[in-house]
Amino acid sequence: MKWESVLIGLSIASIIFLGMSLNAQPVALYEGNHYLNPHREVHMKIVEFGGELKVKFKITVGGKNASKNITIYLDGKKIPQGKWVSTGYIGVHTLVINSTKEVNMDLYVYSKGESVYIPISFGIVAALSALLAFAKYRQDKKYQRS
Amino acid sequence: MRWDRIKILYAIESERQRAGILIAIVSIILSVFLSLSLQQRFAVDARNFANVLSQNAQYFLLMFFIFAGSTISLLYLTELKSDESKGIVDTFLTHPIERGDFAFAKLLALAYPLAIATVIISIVFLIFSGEIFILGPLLSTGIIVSILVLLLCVFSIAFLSSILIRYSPLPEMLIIFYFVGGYLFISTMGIIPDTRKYIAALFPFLTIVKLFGGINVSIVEIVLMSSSIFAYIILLYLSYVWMNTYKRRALG
Repeated sequence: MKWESVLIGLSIASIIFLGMSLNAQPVALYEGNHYLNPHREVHMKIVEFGGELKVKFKITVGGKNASKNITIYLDGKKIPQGKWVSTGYIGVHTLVINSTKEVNMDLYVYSKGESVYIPISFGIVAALSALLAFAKYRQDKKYQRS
Repeated sequence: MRWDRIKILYAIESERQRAGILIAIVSIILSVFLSLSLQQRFAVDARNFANVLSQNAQYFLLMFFIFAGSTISLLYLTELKSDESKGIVDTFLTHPIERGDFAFAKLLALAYPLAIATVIISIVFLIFSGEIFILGPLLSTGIIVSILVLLLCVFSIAFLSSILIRYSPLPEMLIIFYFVGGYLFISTMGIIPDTRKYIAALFPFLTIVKLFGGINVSIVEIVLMSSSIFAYIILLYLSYVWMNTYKRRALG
């Protein structure tokens, strides 16, 4: 088996992964209407790659100061509305929202961007595999000549 | 199977053929679909979370199956056809080497490096993108196992169609019909709830993802999936026997 082919394949794939992971624009994770009542909490799982989240709410229907009745917990910790919150790790987070009054609201969850570790890791893998493939190719050429 | 002969032919074929081009093409397809289908930011109801992850993985596998599957099969047929037109099959294969041995060794020389490349790329992606923390170790393993089963299905179909190589473009049509028809079959079966389990009979890799993803899979589906994997292996073996037995009709 020609290992340099596998290494070249890995290098090409890592370059594509690197390109895909460079997108650092803030992205809305969730937009949708939610109906909250005191007896039923909203439980959500959030998949996130940046390690930082912004949970922002827009109340569409409800009484005056309705947002004061809502409490948000991210991974068990109470978080403020409309401010960036560092989640600390890449992965799955649990968002729990509860309220003291019946509220109909629009929920927006934003992600600030990708972690820099992802493109850096793919860049290192791409460079290493390309280097190894080149070294293997040179070694084979040398062997063929001798 | 005559493994001693296949081993020698495999060594020759792996030096001859252009597996590097195929690996590069499949790497591009695999990495694009992995990035697009798995690496997504989303927020969902906690109760449906496992379902959403599993569906994403299934969607990626289906797209990879159609694009990479048709590419691999058609390239294998093209190489085999080129060998046949050069007279390699008729002139240089002498007894006891049979046509089935040659075609199977050629298939192995493509399949082995390709399987290693896809597994390595998938592992690199799952680890370095942080996807392993999202999918969990079980579903990540399920994706890798599914890719290997997917490759088994692809190579079985490619090997089966190579029997009809003298009736070209019939084998090419068979390949296109299988991959595109398979996608349409899944689309139709997805609409009718009671028939979803029959997808496991044709595409066992989708059920493997469900199984590893912690989704409830019925006994019927598991039986269909197991028998389907077995059927694909039998298909490979029967094609090999056919090529060695019916020389005039089959390849060569």
